[in-house]
Amino acid sequence: MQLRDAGAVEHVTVMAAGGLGTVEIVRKALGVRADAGVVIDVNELDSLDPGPTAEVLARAIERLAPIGLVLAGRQAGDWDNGQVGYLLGERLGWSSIGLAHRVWMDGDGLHVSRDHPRGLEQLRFRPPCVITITSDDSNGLRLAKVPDVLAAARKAITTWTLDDLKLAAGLDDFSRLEVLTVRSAERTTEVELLGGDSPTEKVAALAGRLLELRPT
Amino acid sequence: MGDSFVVAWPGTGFESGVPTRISLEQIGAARTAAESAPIRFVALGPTSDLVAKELAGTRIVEVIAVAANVDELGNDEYLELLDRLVAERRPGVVVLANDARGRELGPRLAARCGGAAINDVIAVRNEDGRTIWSRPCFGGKAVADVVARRTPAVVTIRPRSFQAVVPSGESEPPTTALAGLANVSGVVSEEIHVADRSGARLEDAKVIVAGGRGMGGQEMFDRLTELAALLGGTVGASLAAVDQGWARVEQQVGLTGKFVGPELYIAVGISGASQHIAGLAAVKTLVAINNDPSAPIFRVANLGVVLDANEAIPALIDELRRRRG
Repeated sequence: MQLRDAGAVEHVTVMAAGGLGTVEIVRKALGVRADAGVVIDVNELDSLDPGPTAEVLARAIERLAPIGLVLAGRQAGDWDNGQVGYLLGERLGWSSIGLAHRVWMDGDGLHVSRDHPRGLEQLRFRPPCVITITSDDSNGLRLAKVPDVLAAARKAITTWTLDDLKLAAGLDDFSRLEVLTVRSAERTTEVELLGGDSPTEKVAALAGRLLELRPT
Repeated sequence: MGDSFVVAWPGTGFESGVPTRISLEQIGAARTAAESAPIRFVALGPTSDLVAKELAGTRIVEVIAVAANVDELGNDEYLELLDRLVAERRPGVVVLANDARGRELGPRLAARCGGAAINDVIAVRNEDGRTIWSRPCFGGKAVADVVARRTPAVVTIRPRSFQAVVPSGESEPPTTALAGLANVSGVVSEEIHVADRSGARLEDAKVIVAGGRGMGGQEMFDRLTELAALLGGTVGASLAAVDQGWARVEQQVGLTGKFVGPELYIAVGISGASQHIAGLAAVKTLVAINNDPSAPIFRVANLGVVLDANEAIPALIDELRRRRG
């Protein structure tokens, strides 16, 4: 929405693929004045393999009018794989830029600031491009205004099925991983709590233990 | 299974031309996965002759050194180069580090060369002729065991999850120099802001003092620097502290930040969300200071004290100073 306000993009479509709840997510985005919403009604993406998800999104994006920029989440929607945005970029034949904090336009063109192994990197890019966004102060969802929410509630949302995307035969061909098992990873320890009648006593006990535990 | 590639880049896989523990861990992972297959070390960026010397006796059979600066080129160019190398040499496994660059290069390379990407791997084993990779999912609450259905398996490994190999110094591998590529995409790096490196890198730190929401404010958070200095440590932070603006993003420990493995980790005013705990898998002793005795951090800590951070930190600093005299 910031990019549209700045005149860098003309039209913002919000797209979500999934089962129950997907329509509400898109409706919420329309409430902050996104131009259009698309829902891909598909339950089969609830797997740990990001390949099929990227294929579904790529086909939907190709169906829309020419798109220049795709902003995707960094990983939450793909069970922490952190792959969908990149796979989507490759599938579309576009560049992708990962883990972006901020995307902006100035007289020089479009820029992005993103994580770099040694800190942060500022890049200049030309569309088309897929950018995955990580959380940052600058990119929280803006507050919706009541009239906009009311308007969004009446707005039509395009809904496509796998059949519409010519994927009725299934998504298995796009799967690159076989998931054998998923097991709990919650580790627990028997914590030793330092006692003491007063905070001063507790701090003294803690200081002693920290000095013992500190590697020499 | 064919050869394996270990791909390293400056800042993570080598510093001043010398391999870091992270790339030695990548070799460790490749050795476990590939069993007896040869391993080739692909260095993206300027290296010195030291790289081959330092890799002698680690089962690396060849160093492929790309004579260009990855920071000046960028991921698109190196992807193109890696894709060509993979097409030519057909490795069965490609092992990358799970930092900001690896998390991007891995999936993109796999998509391009028809392989399967697995990010954030913490363990690997071979069973019934199949290589099984373990990776955390659901915000670190679970671990999935997965098998690649395509070759190569392009994996990124989490630091501190694999044993680093110890070079024996014998039989130095030959180095093949490879030219870099001119810019092939519309993405150009303009500027790199190198993070403040006062104190050890979080990933290498032996002692980390990390603060969370319970620090209450910038002023108290800043006092962690004093505490860390007294214990010879580095300051880390939870996502909450970064979101509050008290800490920089490169100080963040957890699923969306750094993975650390210090001998001593002191969590101050950190509740212990699973996303934060996910970054602590290799911590030896975890000490928690929190005013809420029911905070989840106490379920994973070894040592705890129920105290408000604002009360504990100044008193602890004074006490440690007094004992040091």
